[in-house]
Amino acid sequence: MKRILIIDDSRSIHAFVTSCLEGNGFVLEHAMNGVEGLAVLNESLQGANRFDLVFLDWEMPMMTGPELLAELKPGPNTPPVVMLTTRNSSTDIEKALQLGAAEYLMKPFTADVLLGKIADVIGSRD
Amino acid sequence: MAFAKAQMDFFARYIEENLGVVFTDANYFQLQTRLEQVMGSMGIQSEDELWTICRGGIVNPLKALLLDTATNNETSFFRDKHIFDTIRDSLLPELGRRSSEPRELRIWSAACSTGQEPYSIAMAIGKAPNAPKVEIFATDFSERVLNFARAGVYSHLQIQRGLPAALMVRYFEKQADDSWKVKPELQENIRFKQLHLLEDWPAIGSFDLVLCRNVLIYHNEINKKAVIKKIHGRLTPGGYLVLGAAESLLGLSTDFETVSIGKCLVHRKK
Repeated sequence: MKRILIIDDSRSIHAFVTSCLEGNGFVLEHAMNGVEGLAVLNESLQGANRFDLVFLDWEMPMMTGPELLAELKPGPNTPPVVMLTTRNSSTDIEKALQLGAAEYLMKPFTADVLLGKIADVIGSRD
Repeated sequence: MAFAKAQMDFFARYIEENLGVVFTDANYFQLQTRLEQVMGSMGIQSEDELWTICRGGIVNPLKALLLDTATNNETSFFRDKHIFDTIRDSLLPELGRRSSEPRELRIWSAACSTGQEPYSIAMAIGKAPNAPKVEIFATDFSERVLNFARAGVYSHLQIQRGLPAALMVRYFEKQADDSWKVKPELQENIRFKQLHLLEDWPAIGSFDLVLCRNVLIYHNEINKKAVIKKIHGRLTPGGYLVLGAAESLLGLSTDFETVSIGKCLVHRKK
């Protein structure tokens, strides 16, 4: 089972991603803002329950997605981060990739696009 | 309401005769969906109305629309992505080494649909150091999808199917309506042309590599063999044929040697 962390301040995004991934062999964990997300991530890096992928929103209270990316220490156990955001300019996408995001998914999206992106990112590391 | 079995048989026979694409009882539900799309496009209100128009003979523009809609245009960038690594890392370098003088290699994307395959090939090659000079010849029988491919404008969802974000921002430009348009540099070496695989082919020259993926699965055995034989005739000696990941030449041709390169099976002309 692949473990995925969703960091987003929108409950509807958590619900939609969950509905897309249900029954596809994923274990999902949820964080509602950047600070909470970073704490969950850092804790997971110390333990056995590491994440295989993280979905990260851009604009959130307390800590934005790019701020979290800047704080996240790269390492062999650090999961790939996929930005999941309504921001869709080339400049924003390039900025996120430079900060270490593995991929970028623009909202709105469909289940097949979401699953395809997960397969591309996790598949390229297996 | 749905079409009667005899009506479905009529449309299936018409599509097979004109296109070589086979619909049977097992996928009549797909044919029903396609016929509903035709009705929607033509403003036809009911199955009975379409049947009345078609039963005496199907003529343009309905003919073109029906045949166009009967084919499956669903595709994504880098579909079965390992093949693009194999082309870039193994096939093109090997093909390039065969001649002592540097020469342009020719790739044919047969049934290129809305263009994702030829653009993916161009992006894959573009990343290679010392990439050989390549011409990509991209064909489809449908002018509608070719016009789409030539324009190279993909919706917000289409652009996200299979295309890594880094390549998206490198080779496409976001438009005001949130669609993404291919940059001219990616189109430089691609030539789009209308071509029907089952009809006589115009003078298209020979190719070092032909991709004919997930097309023949819709055809009957006679047409599959005929198309493969014609492709064989267009390949340079030792040139490669690439089929879809789930397709094989078993029972269709003995004119190729199937070889495993990278994570893919490809078919080398004997």
